[in-house]
Amino acid sequence: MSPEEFAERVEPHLGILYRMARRLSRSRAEAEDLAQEGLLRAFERRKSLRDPRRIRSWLLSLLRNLHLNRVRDERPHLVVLSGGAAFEHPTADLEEEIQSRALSDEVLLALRALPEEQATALWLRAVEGLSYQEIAEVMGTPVGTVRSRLARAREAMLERLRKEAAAASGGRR
Amino acid sequence: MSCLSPEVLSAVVDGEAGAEEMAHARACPRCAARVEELRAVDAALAGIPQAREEASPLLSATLRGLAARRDRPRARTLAMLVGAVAAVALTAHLVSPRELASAEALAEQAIASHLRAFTTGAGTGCQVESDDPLVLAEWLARGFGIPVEIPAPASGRLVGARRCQLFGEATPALVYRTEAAPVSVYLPRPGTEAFAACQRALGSCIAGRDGQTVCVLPGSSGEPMVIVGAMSAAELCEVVRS
Repeated sequence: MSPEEFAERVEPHLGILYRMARRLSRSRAEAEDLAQEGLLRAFERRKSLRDPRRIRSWLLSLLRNLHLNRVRDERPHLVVLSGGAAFEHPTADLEEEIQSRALSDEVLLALRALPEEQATALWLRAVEGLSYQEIAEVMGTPVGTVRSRLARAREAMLERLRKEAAAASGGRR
Repeated sequence: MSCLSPEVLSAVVDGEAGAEEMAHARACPRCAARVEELRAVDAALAGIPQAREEASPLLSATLRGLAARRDRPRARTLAMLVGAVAAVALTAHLVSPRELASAEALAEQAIASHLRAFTTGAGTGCQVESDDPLVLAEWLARGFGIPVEIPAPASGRLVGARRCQLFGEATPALVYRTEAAPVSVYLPRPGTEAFAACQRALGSCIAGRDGQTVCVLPGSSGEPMVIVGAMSAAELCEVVRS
């Protein structure tokens, strides 16, 4: 695959690649770094892509493995929420903005509380709309494993968000 | 049919359950309610700002840069550049396959870090800019908690420093400029994987991708440094004193 062909095939998937990097990273800068390195690695290994129709799962798999290798020995870290651009464009209705941001933070926290393999499976399905088969390719697991991870992820998210909602309504009383 | 298991309910959300199970999920009020709750989880996730972010302009620019690269065979052979090595009074040695892989990995990491540094931020490759070795030594020592000896410039001009990653480990790096190109000099810390790889490749140069050359030379105190730049090995070995 020539460099031009590579760029042409990858370009439609830059958004999903970046969002995946963003989800896996602690900050925007770290996500850019991860996505950029993923892109460079993919370019170098483009000959190993046997079926160009599977380029999306190939790219995501490469990015995820890169991330997992990077953090393998890292210690747990604090989650930074509501950083960056979200604060740069305040809306007119500040109260609504704050409520919406708080909800997003809760959802994001619930997602980050999941084991990485569950969070990734759920993200790829719920946000990016990948098929079970594609998610299995990204994660290098059988389709049945994807199915059970999705179920566990949704149950855990639901339970956590319910508790958060109950705690919030209790606090308002 | 009794109520569906969590796994089947989740598959119903995705339209991946069997026809009979899908029919049950529609007919059974309890299962239908549960499916709605699970759908709400997906909807909440899809509604967060991170789910709508687009790729940064930097990433698009990187891809354009890759598209513009010439499609040429990558230099894979470890070039033991005896002339250049002799110029810095080093002895060439034979390299085993394991060492070759290790040296290639080191070169790959160093080149990736070097190229990335000059395509991000202000494009200077530096996090701190100064031609004063004392300022840079102090900045690096503060960041790494150990003294860092700054290689003295020879044909190059010292312009700054940055923290980077080699084999996933934080590594001090200096940036020099020559008339031809910017040059990164990495100083792997003892005990790291990069340091071990350097020791195995000490005194050798590798012709890497994108016209970049990587040389592993001993610093003035004998500890290895990795030098990266788009120039010949002989020129690269002259950028800093070793």
